[in-house]
Amino acid sequence: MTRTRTTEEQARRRGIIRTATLLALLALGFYIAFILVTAASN
Amino acid sequence: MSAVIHDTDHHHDDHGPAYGWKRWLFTTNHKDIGTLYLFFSLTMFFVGGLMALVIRTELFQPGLQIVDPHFFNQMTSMHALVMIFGAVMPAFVGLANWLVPMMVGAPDMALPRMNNWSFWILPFAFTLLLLTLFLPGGGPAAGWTLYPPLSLQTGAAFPFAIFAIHLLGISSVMGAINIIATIFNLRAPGMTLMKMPLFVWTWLITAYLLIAVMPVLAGAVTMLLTDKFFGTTFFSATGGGDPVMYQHIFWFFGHPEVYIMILPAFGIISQIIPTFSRKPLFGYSSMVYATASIAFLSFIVWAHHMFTVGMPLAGQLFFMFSTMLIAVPTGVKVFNWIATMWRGSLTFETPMLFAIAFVILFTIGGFSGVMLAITPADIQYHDTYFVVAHFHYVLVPGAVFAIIAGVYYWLPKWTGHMYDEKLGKAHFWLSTIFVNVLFFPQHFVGLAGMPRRIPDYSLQFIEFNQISTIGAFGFGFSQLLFLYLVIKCVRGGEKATSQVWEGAEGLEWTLPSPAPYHSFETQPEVK
Repeated sequence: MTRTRTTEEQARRRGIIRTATLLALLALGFYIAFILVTAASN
Repeated sequence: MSAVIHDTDHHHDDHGPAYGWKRWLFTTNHKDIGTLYLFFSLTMFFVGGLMALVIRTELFQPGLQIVDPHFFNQMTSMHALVMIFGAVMPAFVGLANWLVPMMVGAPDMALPRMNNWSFWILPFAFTLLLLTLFLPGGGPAAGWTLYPPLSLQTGAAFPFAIFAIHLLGISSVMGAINIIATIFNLRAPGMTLMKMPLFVWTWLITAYLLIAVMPVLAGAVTMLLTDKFFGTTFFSATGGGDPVMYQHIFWFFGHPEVYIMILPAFGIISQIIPTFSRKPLFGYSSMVYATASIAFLSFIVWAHHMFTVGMPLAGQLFFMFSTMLIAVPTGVKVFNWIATMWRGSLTFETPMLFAIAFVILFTIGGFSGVMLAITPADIQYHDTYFVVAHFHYVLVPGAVFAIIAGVYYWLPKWTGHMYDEKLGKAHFWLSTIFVNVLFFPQHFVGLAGMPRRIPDYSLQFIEFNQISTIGAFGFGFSQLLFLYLVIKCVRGGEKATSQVWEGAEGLEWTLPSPAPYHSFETQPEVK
């Protein structure tokens, strides 16, 4: 059985994916930045 | 525009939970995952508690009694890691899983499959961490802070412990992403940010803290790993590195971590006190701004953990005053909780008793924190039992009491049954008396100079240590009563109404008790 996803549901789904991707990139960025900054400071 | 989707994506309407172990292993339901987190947290609370009892039994008398010093060091290190990452943090994530969707009027968390993964990483990581105790050389013994060069002397356990910490970090970050995505994308129509319950607000800010600092911890321990196995010298002076740098990086993570463990507690208390005062929370918006201020300040106070490593006077002054500044927003919160109770129609059910104890005893931990912020005094207090007393007041009658208060408060909503109020009150009084017997004497031995993390001590500290150990056993055994109470409530009891508590307000109380497997199929409208 299939159902049609409404425009509102699609927008919400895009919002969730966008939020999650940005936050994951932010976390990864912090991880890499701290290692690089420590390496550069030595 | 529209898209065709399979009903497997949206099969809420026509079934409940699966049966048996598959329900728990494959679940994507926020309530199931919340229950898993809370069950895991309770298990780890007892595991970490047993380690604490080993420590306190050894300290009942001076001299070496039951464990050798190396094992004692493993116990202090593992007790902290288990309690922080295994008990307190998962308990708050469990509460967030149960409550955030219900409080914002969402059907579930925004990313349910990732939610499942966030949880199931945890038992794997902790099995790995706890099994290191059986490896040659034992488990991590350099303290939960893993300061080099000492931590680099850890035996075979080292890479396993580092891997476990990475996994815990990944789990926390995934949980945080899920909570933020849920709050930003799945709030009910009409629920603006400033209409969100305080518990949701405190968790939103906590989730940002997690995303900002867990990668910092991961980076620090990755560098420890490469120093140990891949010839780098990030923290070794022999290759141009600096061991003190590790302490800076660690505490840049470590201090916000303290607030990760207390901000959701503030949220719980801010839900409970208005209910049993039958008044709205005093100063809602100031509570939100105080939480955000505490979160901001938590990033600029880290070096107060390391005044004794030596730093310029300007640095000492900066970190002293910035730390003291935290007392301002925290004071706003304590003031608001008291103002909420002021002239309220108060009743003292178990959640309220734990909440009031939280306000008083957490404030004692806050006061000793301000004492520790004073640089010249801290140089005297550093690494003494005074510090142990301080952070245990913040974390046990602080964070743990808030968690227990939250469980009593929402348990009828989760199970559909009222818990045994008489036993709940007995649990409260036993816990409150014994937690003070346990931790208050530690202030005195600390001020008298007893160092932390040692299995032996001078004769003048005997009496206070013995009192503390008696308190530890009393507090530990009192928690068995909590376990019994929770099991009893899950199995049956007086039926709970939807509202449960006369003064309770919020969307979660509009759902029947027990809350249906899928909350809010149709989102409610918030006025």
